[in-house]
Amino acid sequence: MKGHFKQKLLIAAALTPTVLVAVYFIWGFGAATAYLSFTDSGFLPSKKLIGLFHYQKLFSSARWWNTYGNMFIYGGVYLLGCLSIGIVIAAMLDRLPKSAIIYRTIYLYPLALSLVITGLAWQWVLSPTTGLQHLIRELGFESFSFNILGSSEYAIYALGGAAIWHSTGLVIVLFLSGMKGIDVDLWRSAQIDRIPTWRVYASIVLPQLRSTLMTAIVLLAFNVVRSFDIVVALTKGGPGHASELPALYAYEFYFVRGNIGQGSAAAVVMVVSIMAIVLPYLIYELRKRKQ
Amino acid sequence: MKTIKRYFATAGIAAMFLSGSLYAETDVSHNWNAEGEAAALAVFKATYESLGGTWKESAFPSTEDSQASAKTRFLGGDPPMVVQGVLGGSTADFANAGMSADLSAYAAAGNWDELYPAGLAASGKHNGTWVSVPVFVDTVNWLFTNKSVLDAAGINEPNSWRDFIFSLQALKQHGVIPLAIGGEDWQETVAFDHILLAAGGADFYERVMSGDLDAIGSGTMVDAFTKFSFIREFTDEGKAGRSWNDTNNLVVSGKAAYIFMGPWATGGYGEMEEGKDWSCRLTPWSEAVAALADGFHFLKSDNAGDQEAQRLFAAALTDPDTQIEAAAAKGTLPAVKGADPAKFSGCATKAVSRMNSGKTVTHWNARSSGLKSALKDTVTAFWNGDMSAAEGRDALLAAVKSN
Repeated sequence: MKGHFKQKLLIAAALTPTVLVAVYFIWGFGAATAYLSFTDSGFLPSKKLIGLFHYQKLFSSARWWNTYGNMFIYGGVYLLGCLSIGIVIAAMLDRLPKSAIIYRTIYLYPLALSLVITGLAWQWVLSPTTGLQHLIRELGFESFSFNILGSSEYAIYALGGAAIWHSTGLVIVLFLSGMKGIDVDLWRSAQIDRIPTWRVYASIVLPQLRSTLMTAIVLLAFNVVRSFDIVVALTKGGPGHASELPALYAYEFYFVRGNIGQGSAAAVVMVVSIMAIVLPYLIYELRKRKQ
Repeated sequence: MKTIKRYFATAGIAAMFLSGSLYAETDVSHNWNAEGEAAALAVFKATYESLGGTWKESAFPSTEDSQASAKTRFLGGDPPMVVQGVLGGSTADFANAGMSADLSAYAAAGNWDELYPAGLAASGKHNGTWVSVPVFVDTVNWLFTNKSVLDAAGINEPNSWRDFIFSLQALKQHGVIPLAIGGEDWQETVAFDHILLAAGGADFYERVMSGDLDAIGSGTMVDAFTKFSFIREFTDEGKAGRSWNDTNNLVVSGKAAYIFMGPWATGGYGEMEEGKDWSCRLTPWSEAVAALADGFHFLKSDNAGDQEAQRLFAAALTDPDTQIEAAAAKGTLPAVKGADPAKFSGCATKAVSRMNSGKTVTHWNARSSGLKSALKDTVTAFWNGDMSAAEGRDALLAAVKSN
């Protein structure tokens, strides 16, 4: 009993610094940002409270609504894309013999690149004057047209696509390790029953990987919130502000327009919105696991 | 005991460093990194050092970065002595935030009110008090032309909006990009300057930029947006997200004929000859010079050493000979009165003569941050969207009202 207590104390002592740092730098700064969003902070932060002024401004701005909507388009495309492609590739890799480890490296490689490099590389590929369109026209198809970056409607999907290319590797690794942990006997009995492989994955393997799915969703969701560098590198939020995401919006109001209150309000709405989606899911999953 | 001693020793060293940083010579926060800009800064540096100052600088890639750093350092109690930037709207930003030093004493000693033309003196003052020092006048509404491209298409340089449109059509037929434009809101808004001048002239421009709601809501503004949407088809499809220097390079390399850009675009032409290979002209269809003052914001400091450094730096900046030499190095105009036009070459000479004969208006980049934001947001939304001209006018009116 005493040993148990000691062990607990040791764990608590070891974790305390991390907890303190996390509380201060994440929740403390988060709370400070939330506070600033209710103040008249402009060029410099101020402590004078002015209520919901910045939120009213934000919600009456057409630019913000477009940016806010973009977060859901981008986030939806990114999450669905990463998860579906990632899970399929993970299952395929899972079926390969151990010697085929090279494929794992290939699929994981983009994850090692920074998002700025990812954005820049895709910018080169997608730009109509240097990339794909140029190449195909050089091959003789003069009327070929592909200018997703110049399209107000579709530029946001280009961002989603580039981000999927970057992060799918993460999903692959998570699910691959999960699949490797599946009981071999399950596979044997499925083989005896002659269940097709895809069916085994869909009905037996994946349902056992719920917690892996949860991890993946949480990690990806936070990538959505902090998406900044890829936007700057790939589209600069353009054309116009058509592919702008909230983090870029907040940055511009903080550092270019000297409107700290407005930037803070945008940051708060951005984080709260993502939490409103992710938290209920997390609570649901965790409760389910306890039962 | 030993540990305690060591602790005190460490604390002592740390304290030395801390106090060292408090009394160190203070620095200049700037983003003048291009060749001409760096040359201009070196001229100020030389005078400052000859007066007894010790030069220290913090260079940043952009005004935003320089300002962000200065703000953070100000809050931390260790501000740079000055921040370089466009004066006007941002002078008020710094002063309203309580960050500005009061330069009245230096201004009186140096007789700055006599030194500067009234309009430029105003850009360095907040509520009548000197807080920033203007050093250059940048003229922004330039039309750069690659003359070889025009020659190849058999076109003369246009002198009216009508001719300009005809030349765009001819150039398009000829198979080059008629008008180069990049994909950032400020580049689009710099182009919009010329459109406003085409639609309403210098007086209209001035009224719009001072936030005159009658002018912004007028039919002339609808005409401006109509003209703006018309030139869209003469730009290339690679413009999305393109930086200004890549865009400028299209003109330099002969892939495009025209670009609307500020005087910094001249740097791209290198050895090519102005007047023969390429040309810089202030908006040919107007008499307007859209100008802004570039200079230094002086930040408040309680430190006597910093204040002395500021006094010396202000003296260096306002020394007419230094300012004129620096302006020549940067290829722009000095803010002080009485510069000899013969000292300047190329584009700067044209700016001087236009200022003498034409009408000088204050560029949007020197306006209040509210107007600047409203204008840039609307222009970029209109340019990249599918608003009608009337909707563009209404959007601008709404944005100016709400900012």
